Amino acid sequence: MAKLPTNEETLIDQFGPHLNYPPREGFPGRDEPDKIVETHCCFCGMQCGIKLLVKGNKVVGFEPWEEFPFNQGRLCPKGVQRYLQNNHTDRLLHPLKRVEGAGFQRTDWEHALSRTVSEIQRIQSQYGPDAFAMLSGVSLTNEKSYLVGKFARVALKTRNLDYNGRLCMVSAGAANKKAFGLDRGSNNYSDLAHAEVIMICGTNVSETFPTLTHWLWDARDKGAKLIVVDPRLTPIARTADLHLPIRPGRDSALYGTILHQLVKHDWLDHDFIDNSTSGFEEAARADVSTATNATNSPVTGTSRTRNIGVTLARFGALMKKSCREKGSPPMNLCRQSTAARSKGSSRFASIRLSPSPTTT
Amino acid sequence: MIREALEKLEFYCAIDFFLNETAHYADIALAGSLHEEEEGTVTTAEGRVTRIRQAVTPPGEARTDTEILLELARRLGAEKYFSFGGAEDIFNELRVASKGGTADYFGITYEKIEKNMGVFWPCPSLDHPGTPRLWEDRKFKTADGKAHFNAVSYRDPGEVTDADYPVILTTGRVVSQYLSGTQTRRIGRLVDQYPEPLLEIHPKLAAQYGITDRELVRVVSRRASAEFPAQLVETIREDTVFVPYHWAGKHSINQLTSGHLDPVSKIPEFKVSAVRLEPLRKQSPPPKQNSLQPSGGSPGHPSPKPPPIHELARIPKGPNETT
Repeated sequence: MAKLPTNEETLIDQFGPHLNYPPREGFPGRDEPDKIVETHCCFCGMQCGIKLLVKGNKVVGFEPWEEFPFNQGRLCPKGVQRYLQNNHTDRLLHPLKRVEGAGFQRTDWEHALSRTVSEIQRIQSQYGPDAFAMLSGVSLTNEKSYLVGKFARVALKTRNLDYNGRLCMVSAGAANKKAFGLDRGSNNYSDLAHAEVIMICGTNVSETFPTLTHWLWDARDKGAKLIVVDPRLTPIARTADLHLPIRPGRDSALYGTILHQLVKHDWLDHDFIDNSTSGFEEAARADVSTATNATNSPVTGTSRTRNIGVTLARFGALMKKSCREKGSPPMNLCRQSTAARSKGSSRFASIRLSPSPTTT
Repeated sequence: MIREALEKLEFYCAIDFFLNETAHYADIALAGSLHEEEEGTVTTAEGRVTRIRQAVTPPGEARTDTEILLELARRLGAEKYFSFGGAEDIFNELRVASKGGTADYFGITYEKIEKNMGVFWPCPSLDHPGTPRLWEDRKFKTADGKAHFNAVSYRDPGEVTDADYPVILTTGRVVSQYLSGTQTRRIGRLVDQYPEPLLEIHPKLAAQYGITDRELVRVVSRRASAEFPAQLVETIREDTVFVPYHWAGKHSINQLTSGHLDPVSKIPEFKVSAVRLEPLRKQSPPPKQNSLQPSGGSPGHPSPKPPPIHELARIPKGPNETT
């Protein structure tokens, strides 16, 4: 039944996207706000600290929140415009109901809520409780996410609940769970500054998590080497010691080949592998066969070198050099390679963290 | 695929603050709340639980998302399980519900978050400081307490290139936009930075097709096709093209991407598809820049209303419009 109620152009005219610009002189009241609220940016999972300036129940500007630990007042191009989300001409100010041929019409809450509830009840009595599904958003607060989960299970009694993370970061979560039993990055961001080699795999951090870059620069200032795996020379890759522009979708061949090199050169932390991990033998066997295939075939073939062997020789040389410069043997590599592997195709892995730097 | 699913729905209720492109299919849209219109917490990508503070209340007749869900629960006869006085009440139930689990929030309170500028989970007890760095004791949360190497054998992606679809398509983001763009495609200066999706292509691959900068190119996959202006860049592999995914409708690159699912996480394999390129032998006009346009008006009532985005990034329909 649910084709669009009217053509797309009419809907866009009515509901946007329209563009919100601040007045040239800034919004009135910006210099004399009623209150300054310490909260966070809404535009990505970094959730940078920001102070919103409020006048007359409207957000009229922002200030950096320099005391907040991980972004320390820094904001990305999205963050500095985040306050324009408020007071937007496209904002829904009342419930709407669909009207065939016309689009949408204003309705009152009583109608909107009773119609929704009666449709839920009709569909569930006709087809069973699972016929009504709920889709949630990762940008919600913890409280709202919890509430949505409980609402689906307890009020709707449906098994069909999902969220937009399914299209975003669920693979990193699944990999973390398989490797460590917990879906969370292993370290806080300030730990990055203590890394000696940082390997960034398939994540365009300087555009997607821009305020994270600062921690990478901190590590670089202290001499950390940077390896970036990405089919594009992304902004962060332009600063790397080694960029591996592998063919999309061939990541596991590269990581298998790296594991092969670690085994071949015995760059392994045997104490860690023997006492704190399981499955190494199987992983090494599976990955070595992969690596052999990958070395002889151009699956990972990079546009620069065309030869994975050359790339890996450079990788190995970089590792050895880094370890020599730091005055420690390269045997700790393997511990951190578990982190790299667990992250699958996304996020970053910091390699060779210094022992227990204190952080708050 | 999503559009077909939406078209089959008998009833669709959207709770949102903008009527986004998905909500165009809704039967009822309930005006919900923005990030800054409710109290709460978020867990950042770092694992730090932080406080979101209410800066303003929802405008007009809009309500908070929490109010809406509680009212729906009441009307569905589940009121006794949803008697929350506010966000902190909900958080306190979450704390108890997570106690003893791997994602243990029991020791995290609003007061502690505010005092410490965030608390890292897991945090199992009230006197626990939280866990900024995991695994220092080398005790992992797996069944045997050890970190587990998972054997991975190489296999090809779900879709590989062939004679009909010889180029790899990958997708991603630009710095000025976020996810589907519902929020960021409504902010003027973010749109000005990168107004429309471009097809990044290496000059050597472009030369094979005679494609020039800003020439319109039809990108065709086994599922759909869409047209994008070419952007010749040396920062991409010669066998791969890239289009960012923040746009809707005919500008959505995800119409083309593969539906193969990861066997464990069920995430679609968005980052690898096989496509062919069909240059259309006409230039796409440069998108209009609006940043100098005075907007006037007061917050909430900007006037005049800025032009809708589909006019700003309009693709020419015929040869007369291509100059």
